[in-house]
Amino acid sequence: MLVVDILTGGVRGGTAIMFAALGETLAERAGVVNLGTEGCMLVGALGGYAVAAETGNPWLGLLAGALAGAALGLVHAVAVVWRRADQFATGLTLMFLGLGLTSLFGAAYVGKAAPGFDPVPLPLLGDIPIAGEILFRHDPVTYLTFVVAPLLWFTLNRTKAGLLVRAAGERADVLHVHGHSADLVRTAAVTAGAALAGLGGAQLSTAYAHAWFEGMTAGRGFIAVALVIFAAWRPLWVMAGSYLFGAALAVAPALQARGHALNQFALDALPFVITLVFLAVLGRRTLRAAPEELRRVFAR
Amino acid sequence: MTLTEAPTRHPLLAARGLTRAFGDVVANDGVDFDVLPGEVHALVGENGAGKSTLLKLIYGVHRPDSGRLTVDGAAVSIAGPADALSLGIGMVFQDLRLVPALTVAENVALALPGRLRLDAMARRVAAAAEDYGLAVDPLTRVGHLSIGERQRAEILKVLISGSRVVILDEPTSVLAPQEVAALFDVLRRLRGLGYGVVIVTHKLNEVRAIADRVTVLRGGRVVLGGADPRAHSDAELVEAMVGRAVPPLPADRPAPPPGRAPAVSLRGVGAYGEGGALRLRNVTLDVMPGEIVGVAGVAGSGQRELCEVVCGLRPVAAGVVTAAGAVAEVPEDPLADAVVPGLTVVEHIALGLPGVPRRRFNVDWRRVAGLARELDAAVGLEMAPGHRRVAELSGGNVQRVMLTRALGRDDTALVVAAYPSRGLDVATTRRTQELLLARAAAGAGVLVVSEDLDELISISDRIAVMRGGELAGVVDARGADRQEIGRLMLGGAR
Ligand SMILES: Nc1ncnc2c1ncn2[C@@H]1O[C@H](COP(=O)(O)OP(=O)(O)OP(=O)(O)O)[C@@H](O)[C@H]1O
Ligand SMILES: [Mg+2]
Repeated sequence: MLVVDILTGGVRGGTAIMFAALGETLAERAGVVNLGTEGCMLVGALGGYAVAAETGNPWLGLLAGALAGAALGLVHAVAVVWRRADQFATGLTLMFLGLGLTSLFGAAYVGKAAPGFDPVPLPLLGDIPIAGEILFRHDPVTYLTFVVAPLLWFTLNRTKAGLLVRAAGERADVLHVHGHSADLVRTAAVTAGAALAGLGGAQLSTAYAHAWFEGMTAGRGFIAVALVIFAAWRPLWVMAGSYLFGAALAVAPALQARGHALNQFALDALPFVITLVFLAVLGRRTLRAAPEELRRVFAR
Repeated sequence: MTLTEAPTRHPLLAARGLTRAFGDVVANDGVDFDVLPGEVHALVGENGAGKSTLLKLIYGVHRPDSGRLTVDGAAVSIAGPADALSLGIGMVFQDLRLVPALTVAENVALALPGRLRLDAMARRVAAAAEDYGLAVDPLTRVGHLSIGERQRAEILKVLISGSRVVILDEPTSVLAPQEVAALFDVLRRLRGLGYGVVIVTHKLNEVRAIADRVTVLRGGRVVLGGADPRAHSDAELVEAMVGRAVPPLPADRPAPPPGRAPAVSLRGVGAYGEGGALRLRNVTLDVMPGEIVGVAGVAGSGQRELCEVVCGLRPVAAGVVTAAGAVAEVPEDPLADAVVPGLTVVEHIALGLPGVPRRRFNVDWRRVAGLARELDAAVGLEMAPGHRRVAELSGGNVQRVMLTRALGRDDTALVVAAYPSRGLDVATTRRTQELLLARAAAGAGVLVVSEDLDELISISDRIAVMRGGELAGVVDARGADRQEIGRLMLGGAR
């Protein structure tokens, strides 16, 4: 069934975006925009694929992907938080850095085989008609996102660490009055967020595409940044939004599998068109939900 | 209090010889100050006298250049607010330090070490609110609270984090009279429980109402240290603050000339407030040239919307506003609405000039600075030097820049002044009132909003009382009856 195919593809394809968008949510709730998310995903994708290929263990690959993303995120944090560099310029630079690094070191892995994650239908749950097919016949990394989004929600809203992150994003000066360092909190949030983006990249190469090729993230990092805004910085809305974009990405393959000849360029542009429409429609309204320190960054 | 008990009360906190300079401004110069358990200690002085600086030295926001601090008799070194908090010193800043997007309980949790347990924290906040008589709901977001409630939340935060010395910097300047009374009830309760309370204020009646001792600062030095306020007359305290006597306002003034077109005329005016609700309803009011109309009312009764409608800053939803000419405005909340903190004093004055002098294509800053100096000399509110950035000025000094800019112009048909004396010291408040009277005498219409009924009665010709966005009544200021005004404000039965 076409709809089931698209929705199943949405969950599968939305996973990488969701990791990245959740990571960006964390960073932005602390008051820092990381436009380099795309770059973090790329280094995560290559790092994950390369380590999986070399060690034969895709789980080590995932770990490597997260670490690679975190390393790039730490660069962003140092530049933006400690050196007070411009967030947007640094983020874009980071994106190109990720692109350059991965095309330099990634050439050897193009077309090379590596062990990856294959779908593991969950017992019982996977047998539920329709819903089981859409949700519970995926690879293990996709299942991971089912818990990561609620976990991020819990961390942000119910733990002291999350409270510090929110305070850093709303009023850094208040945090300072209570003897905390907003700079430290932001550094941690940006780095952890970038690790999530790296994880998303690794999912893309080891579980979604089962391959590495140059620029394989294809703008997912930017979609993730936009998604955070239209999900009003809320992890659970980010989760829903990621599936929406995943579904948009799944429309083309699902139609092609049925032999429909469609303009490939138009289909490729679909997720970005959706993004633009959402941003244009929700723009003003969501900005009011933005963390205060972030609004300062946007409204300069 | 018995006489034998007094000498055994060791100070909770004692400062000796605190000195701190900012560049060539010596903000505190060898200041001695102490806080006893179970007292309310008022700290008073002119704008820029160094009150906030002293408090910030105690709280560790700034480090002293020299001098020392003892807590419970032991010498301490306070390197930052965290140190002060752990020594039991809590501060309620003039601009409150709360995160609006977080709930009251979350804000309190931010100030405490340890894990976050929101339910337990909410219960703890509710219990403390009950104990200290500080009514505030722990689960409401701070951004949704009124300013008085925010202040209570901040005090709760300070108390729950274990402070025994509670420092409040000008807490009453943002409060309505009823809220001030409620705050003082809380402070009395804290005094009874043995807390040491420090309060900064510019109002002598507040010193008399709440303070056990008073310390006066002038030019960074203590001119009266820990004195009993009952032992000094108002005139003596004012002279200690200002360095000279301040004469009262002239009692008799000419009546406004009759038979001219109003400076501004409102007919059945309505307007929407920030949230989209109708906050101003069917207001009909004229301000005649040469007349001062005071606006009284409980905070949030539509005063802000009235001022903004008259100044053309807010769209009129119903009715007609007719102004006879240009309007000069003293904004209600300068820091939010009218100040660019990064710009200097001179640059702020330039923003208010009708035309900016130029040399070729550039602004002629030398001449602008000259104009600003002339303006300052003419207005006489003693603004801070022109090159100072507004961000580093004391609260009252920001207000002086706003007032000089608005009252220095003589080309306006109307002056709208919201809370003109907010944060100003005694002498400057007097000068401001004189300036408003002078603008009226020169033929301008003046609309003044204030929480201070005494101020309104002493300078206005008529007082318009607002209630719930409507004009509840207009009374003659001469021989005005406070009871009557209060009744109009609250809308009680006659
Ligand atoms: N961070 C700073 N940098 C430079 N100068 C400062 C700074 N803080 C205070 N000052 C200066 O020190 C002096 C004392 O300022 P302070 O804020 O202590 O006055 P205040 O008594 O609290 O006045 P107000 O009644 O207006 O609040 C002023 O001249 C002020 O401009
Ligand atoms: Mg001050």
